[in-house]
Order: sequence, then C-alpha cells, then structure tokens
Amino acid sequence: MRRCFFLKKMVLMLAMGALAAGTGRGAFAAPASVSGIQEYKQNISTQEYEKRYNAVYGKFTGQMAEQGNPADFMLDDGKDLFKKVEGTTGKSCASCHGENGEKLKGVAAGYPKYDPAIKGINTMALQINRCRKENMGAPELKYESYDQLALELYVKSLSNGVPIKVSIDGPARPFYEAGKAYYYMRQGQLNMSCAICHVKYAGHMIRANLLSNNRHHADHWPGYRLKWGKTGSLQKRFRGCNKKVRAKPLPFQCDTYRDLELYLTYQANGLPVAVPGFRM
Amino acid sequence: MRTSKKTVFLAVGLTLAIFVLPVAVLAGGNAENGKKVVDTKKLGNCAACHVVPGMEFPGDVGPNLIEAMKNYSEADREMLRQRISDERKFNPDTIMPPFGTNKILTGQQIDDVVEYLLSLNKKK
Amino acid sequence: MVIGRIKIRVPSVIKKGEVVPVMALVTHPMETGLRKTKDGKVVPAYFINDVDVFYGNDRITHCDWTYAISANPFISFYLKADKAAPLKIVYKDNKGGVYQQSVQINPR
Repeated sequence: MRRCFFLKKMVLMLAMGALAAGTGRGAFAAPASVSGIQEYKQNISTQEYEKRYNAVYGKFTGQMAEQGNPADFMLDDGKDLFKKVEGTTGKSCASCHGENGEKLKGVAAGYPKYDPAIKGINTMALQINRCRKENMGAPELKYESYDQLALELYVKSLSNGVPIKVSIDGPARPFYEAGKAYYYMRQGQLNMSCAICHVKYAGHMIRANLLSNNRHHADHWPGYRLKWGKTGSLQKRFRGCNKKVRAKPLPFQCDTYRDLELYLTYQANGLPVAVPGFRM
Repeated sequence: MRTSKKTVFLAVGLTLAIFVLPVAVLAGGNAENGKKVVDTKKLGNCAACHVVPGMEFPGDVGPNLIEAMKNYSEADREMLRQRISDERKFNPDTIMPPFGTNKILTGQQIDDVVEYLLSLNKKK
Repeated sequence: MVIGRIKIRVPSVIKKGEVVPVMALVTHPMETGLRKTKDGKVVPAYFINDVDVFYGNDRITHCDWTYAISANPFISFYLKADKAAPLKIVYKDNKGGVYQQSVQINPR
C-alpha cells in the first residue's frame, strides 16, 4: 500500500509526452490515446510474430507447464494451506470458500480489479492477505515467500481455463492509465520503456532471446521459470525487468506495480487463466 | 614590430597545425580496446541488438553493423560518435541507450568503439 | 523447499501391452559446484548423479547424470506395460541422499 514516488515522475513524463506531441516530433508514431501517450505499433505482423515465437519456443513451454512443471509441488502445498486453520477466529480459507474452493472458481479471472476499500487496484496476492487479516485474524504472508506463492497459486488455479475478464471501466480507469504511463515510461540507465521492447520490437531477437508480445504476459503467473530455478510471481518478473534496464526495482505490491499488473492483465483479456505457468 | 608580431602569430599557428591538430585526430581511439567494449556484456553489449563480427547469436533489433558500416567513412566520425553517445538527437523515439549521456561508457571508450567500427570498413 | 519430492505421472487407464509415456519430476537444487555466492564463496556441488528405474524386479533404465542437468529435473520415457508390477524410480545424489517413489501399474 506504499505510495510510490514514481507516480510523480510519471506525471512529469506525461507532461513531457504531451509537449513532444505538441511540437510535432512524434508525427511518425501511432495516434495518441486519451492520456496523451503515444502508443507503439508492432513492427512485424501478428502472423509473423507467431511464426517466430513457435520457431524459438515451439510447444515446449506449453507441454512442460502441463506435464513436468515443478510448480506442481507448490500447488499441492497450497491446497494444504487452503485447508489449514489459522488465526484468532479459528477459520481456514476452506471454511468460507468451500472445501475444495468451489466458490472461488472463476474469481481469479476478474483480478486485478478496483476496490473502493483501499481506493486502488486489488490484486489476488493482496486480496488473500487482506482476507487473512480481516476474516481469519491470521498474520499477513510475506510477499514472494513460499507460503504466499503457494496459496496464491492454488487460488488462481481454481480458475484455470476461465477466460480472463478484467474491467477497466469507471473508477479503475485512472489506475489503468497510470499503469500504462509506467509501461510507456523511459527508465533506467539504458533509457528503455517496457513498451518499446514488448510492443514495438516484439518478435525481434535480443541476442538469443525473443522479445515477447505483451498479450501473453499476465495469464500464467505465478509460474515456474527455468532461469530462476523456482516459482515466482509476475511482480518478481517486473523487478527483474527493471533491473535489466538498470532501473531501481520497486517493492512488491506497491501501487505502481499493481497498476501495471492491471494494464498487463487487460492486455490478456479473453485468454484462459493457465497457472502454474512454465517459462524459460 | 608589426611584421614580427605577424610572424609570431604565423609561427604559433603553424606549430599548432603541425603538432596539435594531428594529435587531436590521432586521439580518436584504439580499435582493439573498442572491440573489447563492443563485446563485453557490461559495457557495450552491442551484439544484443546488432550483428557485429565474431559474436554468436546476434540480435536483430538494430541494423546489421557489418553491412551498415559500408556506408560510413572517416568523414562520419563525429556523427558516429554522437550516435553512440546519444542517438536521441537523430531519432527521438529510438531504443538505443544513450551510452554517453547516461555514462554507460566513458568518452574514451566511445572513441575506441568508433575507431573499431571504422576499422571494419577498412578491412574489406 | 523440500529436496527429493517426487511426482510420477502415468496414464490412468493402461491396456495390457500398450506403450505408455511415463513422466517423473523431482525437486533438487542441482548445484553445479561452479556457482559463487556474492561474497565469492563457491557453492559446493550437490546434484543427482544416478537414476535407476525398476519395473517389478527388472532395472529397465539407468541414467548417469552430471551437474549439467537443470534444477528440479524432469525425465520422460516410454514403457511397455506388459505386467502388473510397481514402477519404482530411485534418485541418488552425490552427498549420499536417496530418494525414491513407486507407482503401481495395473494394465487391463
């Protein structure tokens, strides 16, 4: 719930973007959106992108996610945690949500979403901790700890196969725009934005790695990543990306990252939830 | 007196022309050090986006430097230097990191890289 | 993370004599012995170097692994299911740890 000071920078960046548009510098780019951010267009066509993606990864990641995903062990632990009675009220998650989480089916497909109680975007990880604190009287789990990931993984896996349906209407709109502003913000010593790699140059190679399109970025987390050798969340990936462009990573579940998660999940609208994911 | 002043100026000018200017040109850089900068991941890491000689699995985000350098000659040295230092002067929406402005490389290292890039052209 | 948790996947319905895929996963850090921590200390090698697969009393597969295998290794092979017997997979690592699990194969 920490208000990140990056928001200030974002406002500055927005103003600068508006200025640049005013001087006609960005005349070659795609039309400006409501917030004044110039959206990029992918350099290559979608068909070409699919072809390149399949040439690099093929069906490997999909098959491994189904058959040999080490995150499955964590999923089993999450199931046990779901039924474990904790806290002062003597409840477990299962006491309210059904023995096998029947009542939570499809819920994760609507997250992250705007929540008036916190006047911001509520992610699944945050919601689990809030629920534990308010309804169970149990201590909040530390973000990115094994138990937190296991529980989040299990709750999300209950919605597997349900198409993602994230709403950005009404009060969620400003947060979506803020997430988008961060996505398009140039940052770090290398002066790159998320968007320039994952929208404009998606499908190109950086050394031996393919730059992926942001369409499939948010549908499979928490997931196992071969490079990490363990399971992590989408926000851990954000932090990794920030470090790669030599920018300062932000704390887990801070406002900016939650807005960004909303922006990315909206890009994945319509795709089925598929956790735990498996990526290289 | 006037003439002597003139001669002094002339002499100074000539000395400058003979000694200082060639030094300024020669201070361009060292192609071997430039190659090291280009190939080192923590410094140039050029192969991430460009095709450069001797590096496997180059990226294809930026132009192929082996091909592109055929269009550049000694006269473009300053322009190349500026492009590496801050490409945004030429293309405000570029993906290329501003190596000079953001102090990823020192001025000397950029000179070395420019020297190395120009040397690619001379070989063939 | 608990080291040595094993998950073996076989099809739920197997016909007698059918060739079925078997997939097995084990949790293990698989330290190569080449990695260093931030203080420059070498992390000692710790990896599975020997895998045996038994079907009934027969050893049907044997693998010699090195540090080149990734963390949480995954193996997959095909098995001709011609008898009702347990399929047992035994992993041994270089520090003497032995991890094993078996599944019963009941062809119909």
